[in-house]
Amino acid sequence: MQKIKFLMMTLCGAALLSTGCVMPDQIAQLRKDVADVQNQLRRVEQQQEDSRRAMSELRTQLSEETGGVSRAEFADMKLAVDEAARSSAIVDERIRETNQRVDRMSQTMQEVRQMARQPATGGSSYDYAGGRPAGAGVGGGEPLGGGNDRPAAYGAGDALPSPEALYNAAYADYSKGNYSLAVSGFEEYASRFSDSDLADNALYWVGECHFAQGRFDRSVQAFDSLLERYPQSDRAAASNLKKGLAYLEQNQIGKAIVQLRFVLDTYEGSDEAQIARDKLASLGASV
Amino acid sequence: MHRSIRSFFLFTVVLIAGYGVAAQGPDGIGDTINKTGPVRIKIAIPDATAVDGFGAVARELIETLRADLEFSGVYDVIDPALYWKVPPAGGQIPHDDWLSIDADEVTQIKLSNRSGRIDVVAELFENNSRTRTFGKRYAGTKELIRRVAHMLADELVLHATGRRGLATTRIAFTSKHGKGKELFLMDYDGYRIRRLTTTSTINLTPVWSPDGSRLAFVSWRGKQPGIYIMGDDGTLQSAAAIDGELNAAPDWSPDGRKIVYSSDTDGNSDLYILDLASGRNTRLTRTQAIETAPAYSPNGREIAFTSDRSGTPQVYLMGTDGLNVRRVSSTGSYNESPAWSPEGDKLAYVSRMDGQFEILVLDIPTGQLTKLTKGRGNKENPRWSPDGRHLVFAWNRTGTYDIYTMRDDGSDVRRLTRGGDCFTPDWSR
Repeated sequence: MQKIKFLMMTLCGAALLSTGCVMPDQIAQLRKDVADVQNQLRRVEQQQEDSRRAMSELRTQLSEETGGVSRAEFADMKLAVDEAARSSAIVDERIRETNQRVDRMSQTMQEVRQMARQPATGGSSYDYAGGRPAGAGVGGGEPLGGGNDRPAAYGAGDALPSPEALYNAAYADYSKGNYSLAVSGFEEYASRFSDSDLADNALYWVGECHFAQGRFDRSVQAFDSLLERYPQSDRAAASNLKKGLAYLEQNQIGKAIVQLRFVLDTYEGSDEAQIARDKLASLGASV
Repeated sequence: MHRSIRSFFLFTVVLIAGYGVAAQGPDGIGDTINKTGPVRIKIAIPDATAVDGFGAVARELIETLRADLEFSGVYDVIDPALYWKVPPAGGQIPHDDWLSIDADEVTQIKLSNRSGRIDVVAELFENNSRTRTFGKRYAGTKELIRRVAHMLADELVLHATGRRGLATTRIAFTSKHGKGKELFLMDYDGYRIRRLTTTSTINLTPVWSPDGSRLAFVSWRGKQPGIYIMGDDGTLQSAAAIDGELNAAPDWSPDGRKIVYSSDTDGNSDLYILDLASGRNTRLTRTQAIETAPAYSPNGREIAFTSDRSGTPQVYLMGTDGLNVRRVSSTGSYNESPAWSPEGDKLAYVSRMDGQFEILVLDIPTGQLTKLTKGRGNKENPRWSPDGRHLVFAWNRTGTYDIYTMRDDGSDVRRLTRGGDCFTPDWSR
């Protein structure tokens, strides 16, 4: 939620500061989405509170009048608790998806900022007229960035790919199994848009590409790079786990066990921790 | 600039700009615009010469070949009604006459009787250069004449493009039969339908192995629904999936060594990968949501699947290690049944729009989402042809589901089955 609020403020501020009126419909839609998620969160919190209270009452009843609670009441309570947990999971997922949408909108902001900073004769190929594709960007969303200077490889008159185009093209190369091209694209993205929300994702994909090619050393280096540059990244748990899996692939069992235990301890309750637990169990290591 | 020239240029620019471009709909989803596609080779396929008694077989061969080449998208078969303009030339190929009706190429096909079997000699000539560019000989029984035509069509497409055509591919599907649902097989064009299972129980979701030699499917033939693998010799084996009440929706890894599937062994449907050699199952998802319809990406590194983890069914991607989960479907409240294109650059899926299911395609490099289908009824279970230029799907346009194919831009929709409640098709690789 913090991320949503923070990015909302950033977006609104940036929209006011940038040239022209920027995507008012998108910002309005985002506000609505955030409000929806907040409402859902409140409802789930209320639901959980009701369930807790009911459970508490049930316990009291149980202690006061042993045998006074029917099996049907127990079943009802269990259903209510399960439903609350399910609702909570749904809200968690929606928060995650809303964050992804925020990331995508951030990317548009990034493009607008870059447009404002580019010289009139720059010859950029950005589509500022709002021709962004409607799709989600299957690589995991799009970036927010700080408008880095062009790398030396690009001349003043060269056409630069937009952040989204660059990211999507790199992901498409990954999907098609063109891993070397994908590494090049994601590295360029992470370099040019290093302060974007998806720079860490790009580095994660670099690690994945090396992993897919069996270059496990380079894969570990890419994940280390991500963890060093973005220690708070939402890819941190997965990156640490992938490091452990890379050690396993290299038959460095000792290092792998240490790494998997680190994931288990650091990211308790996450999917990554569960996968680490399963891997440790399959290795016969204690958890 | 002269006005008429300028008009021509403008017209050309509009045509070029319109090629393959989808107009944006209110949800940001492109509506279908039939693209003209690459330039096709104009080919004339005159009647074959055949010995006595083989006339009907020769006609079936030629008609099948014409249909195959039209479907391929590589050739444009010149209308046979124009062939009368090309007079017989006493064994010679009248190239100028063929050119006069716009035929770039022309076939010459002869059928003869060789000890009761049909001998087919097929040749291809280029009219401009007046050269023979292709020649092939086939032999078989009368009953296999369609198969011979398909093989010839694929050879001609290979000759023109360097990639084999689709004519010899097959489509497996499920159809109601008696009290059960059985697996069936047909040629890509809907001909030669034959039944694969005779269990009088429920058999569902057949999916071809990457080498086309095996079919994985779900069957109720045991005590509970399980995943089975049928070999091309008809042998059947039970896959060593985990012990769930409902194991469903199998899909092969690109190397044919693993199967991803859904199982409700822990109470709700989650995804698992089965290593066929070791029999080891690896769990991929651990949510309280329903996760199903997994599809291996062509690079073998990702799984597309359907999950209601956000409250409604949506399409997601994740790594084959269960990591890096993210939502793909960005519009609509009900999206399911993802299917990767063979190149891995497109993802087709089903989306509920205005109360019925439609097939959308997401172009991964551009993020462009395009609605391929239109018309009344639900269009479901999309699967790609091996060349990625067509899709096969189930549609209940007539009240019950039948199998249809269409081009990857939504054009050229063809109905392959008629009745029988047919669904979950899969196109052989």
